[in-house]
Amino acid sequence: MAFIYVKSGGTATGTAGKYTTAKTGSWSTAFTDTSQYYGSLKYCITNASLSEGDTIYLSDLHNYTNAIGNTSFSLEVTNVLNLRIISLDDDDLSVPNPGAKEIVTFTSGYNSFFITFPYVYGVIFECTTMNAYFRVPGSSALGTYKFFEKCSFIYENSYFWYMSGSAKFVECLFQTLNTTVVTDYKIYIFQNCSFISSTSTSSFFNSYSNNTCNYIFDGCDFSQANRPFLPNYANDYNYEANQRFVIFRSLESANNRYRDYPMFWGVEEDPSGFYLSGSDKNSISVKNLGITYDSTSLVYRTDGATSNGVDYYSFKTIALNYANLITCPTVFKLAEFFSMAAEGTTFTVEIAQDDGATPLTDYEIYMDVYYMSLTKSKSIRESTIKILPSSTSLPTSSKTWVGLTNPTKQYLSITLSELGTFGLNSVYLGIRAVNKTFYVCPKVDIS
Amino acid sequence: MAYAYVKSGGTATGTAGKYTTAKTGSWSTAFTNVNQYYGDLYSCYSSASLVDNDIVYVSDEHNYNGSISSDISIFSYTVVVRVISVDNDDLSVKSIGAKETYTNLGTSQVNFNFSASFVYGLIFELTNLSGSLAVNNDVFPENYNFYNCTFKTTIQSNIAVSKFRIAGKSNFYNCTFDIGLATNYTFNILDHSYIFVFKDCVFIAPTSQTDCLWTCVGGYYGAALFFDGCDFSQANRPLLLGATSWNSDSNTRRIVYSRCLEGSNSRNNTPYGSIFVPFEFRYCSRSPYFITQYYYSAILDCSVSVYRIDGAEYSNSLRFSEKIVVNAFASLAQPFTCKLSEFYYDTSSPTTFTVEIAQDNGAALLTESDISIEVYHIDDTTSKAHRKSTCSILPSSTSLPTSSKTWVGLTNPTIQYLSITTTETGSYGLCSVHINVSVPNLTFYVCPKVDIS
Repeated sequence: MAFIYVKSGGTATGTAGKYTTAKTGSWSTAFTDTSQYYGSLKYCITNASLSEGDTIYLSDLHNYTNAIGNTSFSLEVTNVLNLRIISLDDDDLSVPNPGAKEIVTFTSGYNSFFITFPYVYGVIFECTTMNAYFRVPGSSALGTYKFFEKCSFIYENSYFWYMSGSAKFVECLFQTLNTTVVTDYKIYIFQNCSFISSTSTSSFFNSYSNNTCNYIFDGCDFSQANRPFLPNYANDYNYEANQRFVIFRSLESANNRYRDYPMFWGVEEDPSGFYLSGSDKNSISVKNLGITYDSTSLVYRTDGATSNGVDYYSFKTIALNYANLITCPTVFKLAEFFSMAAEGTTFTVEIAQDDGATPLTDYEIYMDVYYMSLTKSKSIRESTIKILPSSTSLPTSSKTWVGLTNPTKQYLSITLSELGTFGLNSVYLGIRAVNKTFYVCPKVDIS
Repeated sequence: MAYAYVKSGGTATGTAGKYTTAKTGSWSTAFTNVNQYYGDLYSCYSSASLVDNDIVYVSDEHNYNGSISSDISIFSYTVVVRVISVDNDDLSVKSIGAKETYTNLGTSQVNFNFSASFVYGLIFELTNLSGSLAVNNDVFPENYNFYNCTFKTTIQSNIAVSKFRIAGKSNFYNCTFDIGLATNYTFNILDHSYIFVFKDCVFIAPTSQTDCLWTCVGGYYGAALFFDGCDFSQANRPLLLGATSWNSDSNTRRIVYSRCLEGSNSRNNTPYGSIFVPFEFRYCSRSPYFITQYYYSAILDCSVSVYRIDGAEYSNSLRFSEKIVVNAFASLAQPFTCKLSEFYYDTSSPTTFTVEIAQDNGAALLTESDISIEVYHIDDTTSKAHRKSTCSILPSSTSLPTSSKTWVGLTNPTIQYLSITTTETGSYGLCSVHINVSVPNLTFYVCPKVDIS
């Protein structure tokens, strides 16, 4: 394990900037000559003979511009998995502090700027050339991910931000003027990151079709990126693919949901959507194969579900005008909970429509329940699904709903027919209705 | 919407077996001549000019034996149809039993492709060929649904390789998959980036100590497979893919077994899940109360023999901890990371979250560089979550504080804790606690019950 030092102005060559013990004190006391540290990250990674466990320390005053012709520029280490790059306080090398800066300028034309390291803390990467390709991370390797913490990626004039290889960004800043993110197969986790971009109706993220990408955002700040997250046409995302796009507990701006994000993708177990995010910290908004469901506090069942023990809500469910739902129902998980599932227990789900709407039939909406068997060492599935077309209305309900005019109230129920035991119970709804809007109370009544 | 009818012996050609209204009564009263219905599904598919949402009714007495020597495709993703087996005595009643058997007359592998969008109660038996079900890539925009169907393959010696192949987003409910006893049969998942759901299904396959039930093909390795309530007691072989099936694109691959009946060999492999998304057994028969997660760099497994007094409990009588076995892939640069616990709590005043950990046999104290936690809690006015971490950016040899808590099941335990006190004003909302491990080859226990004060 070695310790390698980089600060602009450094002139170290070979392994002259590499040490077996970490320096202490301030930069100026630790080094007596510029020949004792490297002047740029590129020079360092090219010459320092990096090996597993090494750490590259950059002064937070480091500010180096890489002037490149029309050729790609690579700040990458892919053959050393346990390498860390950390920006340090120039006044106290025992204190991590963001601020070290690496800039790329293509002096003729434009090209790609690759950034791929196992772990980077506190470094500002900037590309100043119009239309350049900003590639973070630039490559992938088996089983690895790239970990960027408190880094900044500033590419105000760049055209693409292209990500290859799974990555985790923690408290990072992404600043772009007019950039589309293009991703490729992998998982990208953004925790408490901030995004700055121009206001636009064009999307911030994009993807190659057919490629599986999972984006997970938690605690992020999009208040300065007032543009849609995703394009609104399906072909940018493969509707069959194991794609996930989840915005979780984040600060949004007005245009972030301006466009419908594509349907036909996502997993019924963990569908893509917005969770506890945006203007309502208790809200959930999901779009999936032919349906959308959004939590609403305006319409709810008395004694129904609450988001916080106090505030009632229901799911406003819209079955889109999409005829193929008749044959290909969409299923979503409504509720999951631990309870005793004794034989004879009845699970009931309450639904309602506004304005005296025509009752829903038992073909249009059905319910699946899974509960743990007492004897089979597996769960049991029971369903109200109708295989053959049916025009039988679901039974009417006597429950009270708030927020609807002349509501049509119905329910679905399943009484368990086998011996169950204490365990995880799951309730799914299957939708074969077309062009209908109804409300579902996610609190499953058990009797 | 039209209704087409299929029963072996039928001779309908063109659209003669298709009707604008559904037939009622029994088959014999509904049809007066064999030329009023199709004799097999392929004839129906190729002749009836079906359109979206048409229904094909098949008598539960349908028993068609076909011979093929080249690939055959029945139905297509371009037309969304339902195929339903109905009671021959009452066409208004669904009934399992319609059967189609295909035999390969040649010596080369041929494929049987079946792509109806909603299928109930059919039995497909494929002899001496590979079955390809719910096929076609990039099917717009449907998913395939099979209810109460049986898929059975048998093998003859003149075909070297045969397999059961599933491609395209598919949901199977209460279906039986029987690949017989031939050891060179496998379930073959076209592991592009699709989602496959199996609920309440039964699998029958030859026993193996080492060979996974599944093999994956394709260039992207990003599929998601979900099994819930399935029975693998007659498919006693590993259920999770091992390292050999990895490539660099596998990070989105997901395999989840929930509430399934396992065989004794189900967990024989040493699987590698994804970095962030684990392969999982949830409440399955070998640990019915708990979840086992296989990440790329660690395995999380609940332990009921090691737990903290007053720690996490599944029910009033069953306490547990998470046993975390970190492998050689974890490092300072690439720590193993996962969510430990999530709960609702009011963080409007400073709140301390404490996580208790323990090691066995007087193990060396862990340092604040070895393990860290992160807490997320909701802001007081916006939806944004605050993040607070104990992560030590620079290497630190400072040991985590020792704990006075009592653990059961360990000999001379090394007991420590990690804690975070919030510094930003929060509100009532979802709190998440993550744990990060930067030291390789470590086994320790963590109590998932986060103490809050």
